Order: sequence, then C-alpha cells, then structure tokens
Amino acid sequence: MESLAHFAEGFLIALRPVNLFLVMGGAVLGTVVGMLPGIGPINAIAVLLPLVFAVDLPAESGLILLAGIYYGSMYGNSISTILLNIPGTASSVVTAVDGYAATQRGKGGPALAISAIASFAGGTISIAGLVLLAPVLSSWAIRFGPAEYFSLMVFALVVLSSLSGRTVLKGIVSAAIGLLIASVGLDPNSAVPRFTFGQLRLFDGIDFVVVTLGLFAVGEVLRLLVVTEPDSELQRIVGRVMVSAKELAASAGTIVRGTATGFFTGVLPGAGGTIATFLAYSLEQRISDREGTFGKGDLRGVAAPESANNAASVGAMIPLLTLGVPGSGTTAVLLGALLGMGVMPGPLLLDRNPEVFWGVAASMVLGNILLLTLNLPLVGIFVRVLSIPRWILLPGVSALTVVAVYAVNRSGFDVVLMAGFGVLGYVMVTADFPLAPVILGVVLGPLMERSLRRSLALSGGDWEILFSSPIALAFWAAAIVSVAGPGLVAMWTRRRGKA
Amino acid sequence: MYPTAGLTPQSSMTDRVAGLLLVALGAATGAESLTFTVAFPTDPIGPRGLPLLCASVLIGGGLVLIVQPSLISGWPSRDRLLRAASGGAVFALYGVLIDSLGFAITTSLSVVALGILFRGSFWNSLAVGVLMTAGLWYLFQYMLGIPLPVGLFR
Repeated sequence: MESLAHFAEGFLIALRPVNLFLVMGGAVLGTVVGMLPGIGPINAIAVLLPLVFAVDLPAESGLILLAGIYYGSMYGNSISTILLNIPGTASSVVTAVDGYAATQRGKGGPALAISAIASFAGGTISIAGLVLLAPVLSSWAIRFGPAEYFSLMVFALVVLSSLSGRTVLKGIVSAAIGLLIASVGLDPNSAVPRFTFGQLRLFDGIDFVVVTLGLFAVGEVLRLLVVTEPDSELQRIVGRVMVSAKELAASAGTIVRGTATGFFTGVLPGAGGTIATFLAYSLEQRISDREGTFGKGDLRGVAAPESANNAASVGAMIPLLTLGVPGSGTTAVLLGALLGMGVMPGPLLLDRNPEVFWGVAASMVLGNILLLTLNLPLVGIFVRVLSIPRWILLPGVSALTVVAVYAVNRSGFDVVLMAGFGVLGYVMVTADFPLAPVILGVVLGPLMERSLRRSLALSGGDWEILFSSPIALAFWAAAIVSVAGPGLVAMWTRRRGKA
Repeated sequence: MYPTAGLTPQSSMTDRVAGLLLVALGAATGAESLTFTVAFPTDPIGPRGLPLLCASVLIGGGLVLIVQPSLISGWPSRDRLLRAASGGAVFALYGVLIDSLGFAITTSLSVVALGILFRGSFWNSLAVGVLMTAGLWYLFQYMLGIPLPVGLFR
C-alpha cells in the first residue's frame, strides 16, 4: 500500500511539463535512432547519452529521458525488424521470424500494431512487478556487506559473459578487457597511477561515455562501412497499422504469458531480453501453435517476443536500481549514466532518492502509453527514415556522436580515444567477442575493486571473508554453474548422442 | 545475425591471431601492473591485484584460443577493411583537429569524408556536411548552450 502512495507521487514528478516533454522527446528520438539498420537500444542510448549530460538535467529527469530513449529505441528496432528483416540486436531476432513473414504476406501493418500493443502491455504490466518487488529486494539487499556485493558483481559479470557470446571464454576475456579499461587512472585507494603512460589526461580515468560511444557507435559505423547489407527492399506497409478485435483477443493470452516469462527472466542478471524472447516464443509455440502457423507470419509469434522483451527490460531495472548491479549491457550504460549524474543506485536509493525511483517508474508507464498512441498513427512517417540513403544518415549520426563526446569534457583527446575504442569494438565484433561484458566491466570495475579491497581490509587479508555468508556462497555457486553449465550441457548431449 | 556477404571463408586463423594478441596484451599489462607499488598499503591486494587478475585471464584465454581455435566467419576483403580503417582515421583526426581548426571546418570535412566513404557523391556529401554542421552548431550553441571551439574563425 505504501508503494502505491509513492507511486502516485511518482506520477506527480513524471507529469511535470519538463519531464513529460523529456519522456516524449526521448521516446520519439529513440524510435528514430533505434530504427536505423543495425542499431539496437544500446547503440541508440550510447549515441544520445552525451546529450543527456550536456543538458545538465536533475537525475530523475535525466533517467526519465534515458528510459524514454530506451523504450523508444526498442520499438524503433521492432519497426526495422518487422519491415526490413534487420534485427538491430539479438533480442529482436525472434521477432523477425514471424514479423517479417507477416510483412511479406502483406500483413506488415497488423504485425506492427500487435508489436506496439504487446510491447505496451508487457512494459506496463511488469511495471507493477517492479513497484511491488523493488522495495522488497531493497530491504533485503540493505544487509549486503562488501563481500556479498563482490560475489554478486562477479556473478553478474560471469553470467553476462557466458550468455552473451558464442563461447564462455570470449565473454570472460571481454569482461577482463572492460575491467582493465576501468582500472586506467589514479587508483582511488592509494593514488598510484595505473596504465596512464605519464599522460595527465588519463589520471582521471577514461570516461565511460567515451568507451560506450566508441564501442557501440563508432564501432557500428565502421562495421557498416565494411558490410554491405543485403538489399532489403522496404516493403510498403500494406493495410492500416491496426489489428482486429479478433486478432487481439487471440493474442491476449500470449501477451500475458510473454510478459511473465520476460519479467522474471529480465530480473536475473545476464539473461535479459534475448533469452526472454527465445523462451517466450518457444513456450508459445508449444502452447498455442496448433495449426503450425508459427514462423509463417502468425501475429502471436510477434506478440510473444515483443511482450517478453519489454517486460524483461523493466525486470532488468530491478537489480540495477535496488542492488546497483546491472545485469545487461544496456542497464550497465544506464548505471554509468546514473553515476555520472551523481546518483548511486543500490538498496538506499529508495530512501535517499525516492524521486528518482518512483519518478522513473511512473514515467515508464507514461512512456509506454505515449509510444502506443504515437506509434500506431505515426509509424508511416517514422518509416520514411528508413529510406534515407546511408551516405546522409550515417555521417550525420557520426557527426552528432563526435560533437557530443567532445562537448562532455571539451576534449579532443576524448574523441581520439573514442576512435580507438571504435576500432577495438569493430575488431572484437568481427573476431566474435561480445561487447556487452566489456561495458559491464568498465562500469562495475571500480565498484568491484572497492568492495573486494574493502572486504579484505575488514578481514585483515583473510580471503575466507568472501565465502563466509550464505548469500555470498549462493552467488559464487551460481557464477560457477553459469560458467560450467553450458560446457556440461554440451558434454551431456554429446554423450547422449553417442549412446 | 550479421550478413556474411563479401567475407573471406571461415577459418581458425582469427582465433589464433586473437589469442596471440591477448597473450601479448596480458603479458604487457601484467608486467606494467607489477610496477604499481604502495609504500603504506591500506589493503592486502593493493592497486595491482585486479589488473594482475585480468592480465592472467587474458593470457589464459589467449592460450586456449591458440590451442583450441574455433571457426569464425572470415574477414572482409582488403579494400573493405581499408574503408573501415579510413573511417576510424576520420574519427581520430576529428579529435586531433577540432581545437585548432574549430568546429565548423572539422565537422564539415569529416561529414564529407564519411559521406564519400559511404559511397555518396562529393557534391551530395558536401551539401550534407554543410547542413549538418549548421544544424549541430545551432543545437549545441543555442539550444543546449554549449560553446563549441571557433578555431580559425577567431
């Protein structure tokens, strides 16, 4: 009940004209940027992130803007997935299956509409889950000491690493690279310069905006310079962007199941949108694909992953806001943004910065309503962005990126560094190393190191402190399972295959 | 998820080379970490602990990749890689030049260069460059109130 009262206050914050404008602007900008071929939510947030810093907003407004961009870009991503068959991220690969099939059969309009409705429902229903669950988790996590935090962060890093790449090994290597990037600069404990090569400019460390933009914006532009996307004819949207009541009723159960699957998968670190969409789709296929229409443009095949994806993105906010430990690349970027705005997410956030938490929760609801009402009628206009030639679009996005990163610290050196990370990002993606663990390592690095050193200082150097509480032990066990799990499963299936 | 058109055939070379690079990087960072010393340590592992751990992960991971490489979809042809490298150079040069040449010249030059790299014609890219520069100038200077370097126009 107390939560409800807070939630109502959150709406008062979210309904302030500035914040209303920000969530609307963020949603529209996010939709447009997220629609660009190959650009997923994390790239969209990266590109628009410096603007958030540049405008110098209060924390809750900044996060409201970012959340608007996040949801907008997910929706924009669905548009290019359904109409062009270009999923910007792994989490929309599943949507492409039935979404693009529907487009080819001339049902692109209904597919877009069901995607908007499913995303709306998935997002909104799971915000209820966020509001109910977050305070509980907060009050539980308040007892965490540095040892528990350290094991939790190792767990988050390891899970994300083992799930985001094709091999666990490459994910772990990516995370280590991220942690090394984070250690550049003066060591906060002893003021010893690390990896600064005598450059004063590196003493403050490398701004995470520089790394994020380099890896996800510049790297993507370089990749697009190399790769010629297959000629994907932009299908005209045939029919109105609407679904019939019958189609909607048929998908209602799908959406509810997709939301539940997505939300609970999203809460777990590392799992996030991709697994949620795959789970929701295969679950739905098993439950409701009686006529074998899945994969051939069935609207339920769009509704399941889309509702799951949005629900997972809300679920992922829970560990971010209540534990201060993000479980995905995108939430890692959000954490970096929050720290940059002077907000320390964690169990104390609900007490110390209630306006941030409740304002954001409420504006997520508003953002979802807004996206639904904007997108159903306006999708025809948004889609025109997709027909702008690349030689206009990508140099334009690049110019915005460089100017914005320059503006954060007014430093040309940052732009050069960003270019370097761009090359690194391109090389890593081409050599099949996942980038999300890098960014999680960059953001978690300082927190991890601090909690490790603090717990060892507390115990006088006795490493047992890291394994001394049941909570910490549980996180360690979970981390080990997630590293060894995939290998064990593979071995088991191989053995069964032989037998 | 990524298109594979125009790439060299799959091979295990990528992993081998990546492994070598990782071992080298790990060795270099590990050696550098050993120089992080404190006169009065406040905690048992000090500033070198985490970097050393990461360096050993890189070395170990690199060795595994060398011994057990997997097949990776290949690399693009040389002229395409050159295109990407030129793109990276444009970004880097932007950072080198912006403070001396100023925002307007650097930005329009970069947009023109990238436009040509993305196979636009010179005149079209020039038009985009000029319009984009004007738009960004207006956005940053007036709407966001962030002054940009004027450089040669001082």
